[in-house]
Amino acid sequence: MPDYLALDFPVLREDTADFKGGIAYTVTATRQDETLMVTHTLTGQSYISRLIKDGKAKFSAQLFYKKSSERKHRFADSHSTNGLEITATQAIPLDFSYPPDVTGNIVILSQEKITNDAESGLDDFWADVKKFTIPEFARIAYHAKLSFSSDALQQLIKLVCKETLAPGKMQTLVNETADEGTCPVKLVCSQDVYDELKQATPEIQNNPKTDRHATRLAILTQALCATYAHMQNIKLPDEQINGSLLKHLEMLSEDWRGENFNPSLAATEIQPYILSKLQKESSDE
Amino acid sequence: MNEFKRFAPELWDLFGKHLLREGSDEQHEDSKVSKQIKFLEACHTDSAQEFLAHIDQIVESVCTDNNIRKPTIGTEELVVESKLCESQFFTSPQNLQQKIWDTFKDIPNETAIDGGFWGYVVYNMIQKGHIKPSYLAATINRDGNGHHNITEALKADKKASKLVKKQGKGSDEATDDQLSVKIAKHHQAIDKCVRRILRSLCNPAPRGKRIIFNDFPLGKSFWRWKWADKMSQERSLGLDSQEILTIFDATSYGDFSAKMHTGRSYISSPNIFGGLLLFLKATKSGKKALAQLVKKELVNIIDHISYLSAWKALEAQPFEKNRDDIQIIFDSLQANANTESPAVE
Repeated sequence: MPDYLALDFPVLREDTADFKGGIAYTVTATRQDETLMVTHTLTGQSYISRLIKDGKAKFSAQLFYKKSSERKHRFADSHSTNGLEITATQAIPLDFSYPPDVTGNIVILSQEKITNDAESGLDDFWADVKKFTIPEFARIAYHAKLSFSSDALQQLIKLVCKETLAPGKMQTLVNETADEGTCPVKLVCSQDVYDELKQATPEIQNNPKTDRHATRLAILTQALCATYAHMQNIKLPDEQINGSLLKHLEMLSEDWRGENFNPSLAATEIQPYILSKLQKESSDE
Repeated sequence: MNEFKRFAPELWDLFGKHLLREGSDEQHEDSKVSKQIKFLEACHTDSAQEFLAHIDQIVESVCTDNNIRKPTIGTEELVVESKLCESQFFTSPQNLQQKIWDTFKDIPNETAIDGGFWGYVVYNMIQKGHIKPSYLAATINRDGNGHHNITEALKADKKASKLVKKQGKGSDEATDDQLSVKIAKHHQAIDKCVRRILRSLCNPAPRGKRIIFNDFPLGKSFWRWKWADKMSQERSLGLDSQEILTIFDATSYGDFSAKMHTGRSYISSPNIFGGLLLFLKATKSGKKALAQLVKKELVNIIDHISYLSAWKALEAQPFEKNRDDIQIIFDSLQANANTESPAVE
C-alpha cells in the first residue's frame, strides 16, 4: 500500500494498525455490459460504521478513465445493514467503452468531533486520544485501486546475459534518458535467469498456465518494481525522459511522481504474483 | 448513425512502430533507417500525392504483415475546411480554434481520444491541399521550419553514409568505435525528425496517447475548447465557455494538460477543476502582478492540489470550497517563497 499521510484522525486502510481486528473495508468492481457494479463492504463496529448509519459519511467510488485521463466521482446513494456488516452497491453507467480504474473510499460529509469510546473500534495506538476532529470531506477509509487493464513490456526491457554472474542473479539498470528507440531498462542476468526469461512471452499474462511461467512473470514483476523505484527519484521533465519509458509509466494507475506512489504495488498491479500457480504442483511446459 | 472515418486502432499503432527504432532491434537498424529516409523524402517533396502514396504503401505493408483486413473504419469524414500556412497549423490562432471546435465539437468522446481518427483527419487535410506534408515536421512557429528540419535530417543521412564507408577501411578499432558513435548521432537526428512527423499525424508510437492532448496541434486546440465547453455546462460554476477560455489561455493549457492528461489528473475532476477556474478568475481580475505570480506558480499549485486530494475528497467538495482550498495553497506557497528568498538590500 502507498505510504499514508500523517493525519490527526484514524483512517481505515489495509496496511495500518489503527483499528482492531475484524474491522475492514473492501471493494469489488465488475463490469456488466455498459454498467460498472461497485460493491462496498464495511465490517465490524467502529466510529466509521456509526457515521455511515447516521448519514454523516458515505461510500464513494472514484473512477479514472486512463485513455482520456478523466476522473469522475460517485457517492453511493444508499446502503444496507446486516449485523456488523454494511454494504452498498453502485450501478454506474460507463462514460467510455472501456472500464475505468476504481478506487473506493468512505468520505465524511461534514466536520465531526468523534469521541474515542469502546465502540470506536480503535486500537491502543489511539488510547491516549479521547476526542479527535475530522475535517469535512476527509477520506476515513480507503481500498486499493482496482484495475481492469494491462499492457506489454517489449519496448521497455532488454535482456542481457552476463556469464560471469553467479546463478540466480539479476540486476535491473534503468537509463531514463536513453535514446529514443532503445530500451531504457536492461536486465543483466546470469545464464540461468536469462534462459528462463527468454522464454517469457513479451505480453503480460495474468493467468500463467504453469508454475514456471508464473516464476518468470514474478521475476519481471521484480524488475518493474526496481524500475518504478528508480523513476520515483528522477526529477527530470517529461521531454527528457525516454518515450517508451514515459509511455509505460503513463499507464500506471498511480501517479509515479506522486507522494504516495508505491513501486511494489504498482509493479504487482501491472504484473501480479500468481501464487496459486507457484504453490500447486503442475506439469512443465 | 455513421461512424467517423479513422485508421483502425491496431493499424495506427503498428504504422508508427514500423518507422521507429524500437527496443533491442539493433540488427534491423539499417533497414529501419532506410524506411525512415524514404518516409522523409516523400514528405520533403511537399507533394500530397507522393507523400500519401507512401503512407498508403506503409499501411498496406503493415496490414499484410499483421493480418489486418480493414485499414480504416467508418465512413463519415471530417476535415477543417481551411487552407493553412505552417504557422497556423503549428499554433492555431483564435479564429482557427473556433473553426476546429465547430468542426469537431459533436464527435463522441471515444472518437476524440482516438489517435487513428485524428491521423485520418490530417491525412484528409493533406489530400485536399489544406496543409503541406512538410508542415508535420515543424518544431517552432515559423513558416518553412518543417521543410528545413527534413532537409537537415536528410543531410544527416548523407553524412552517416559517408562515415559507414570509412569504417573498417584500414582504421583501428578505436577509430571504428568513434565512427560508430558519430553514425549513431546522425541516425538519431533522422529518427527525431520522423518522430516529430508521427506526432503531428497524432500517432501514439513515439510518446503515447498524451500527444492527442498536448503535442498534436489540432488536438491541443480541440481539447482546450472541449474542457471549456464541459465546465461551462456546470451551471453552479457560473462561467461561460468564453470566460473559461480567457482564464484557461493557451499558455495555462500547456501547464494544465501536462498534469491533466497524465496519471496526475486529479484536476480533471469537475469539482476540482471548477475550483481552480474560480481561483484563477479571481486572480486575473486583480492586480497584474498577482496574476503573473499565479501563472508562474500554476504547476506547483496543481501539484499541491494532487497532494491534498490524497486525504481530502476534493472531487466531492463544492467548487467554492475548492477555490478556497486552492487560495490557501497559493498563500502558503507564497509565504514559503518569501521566507526562502534573501532579503533585498
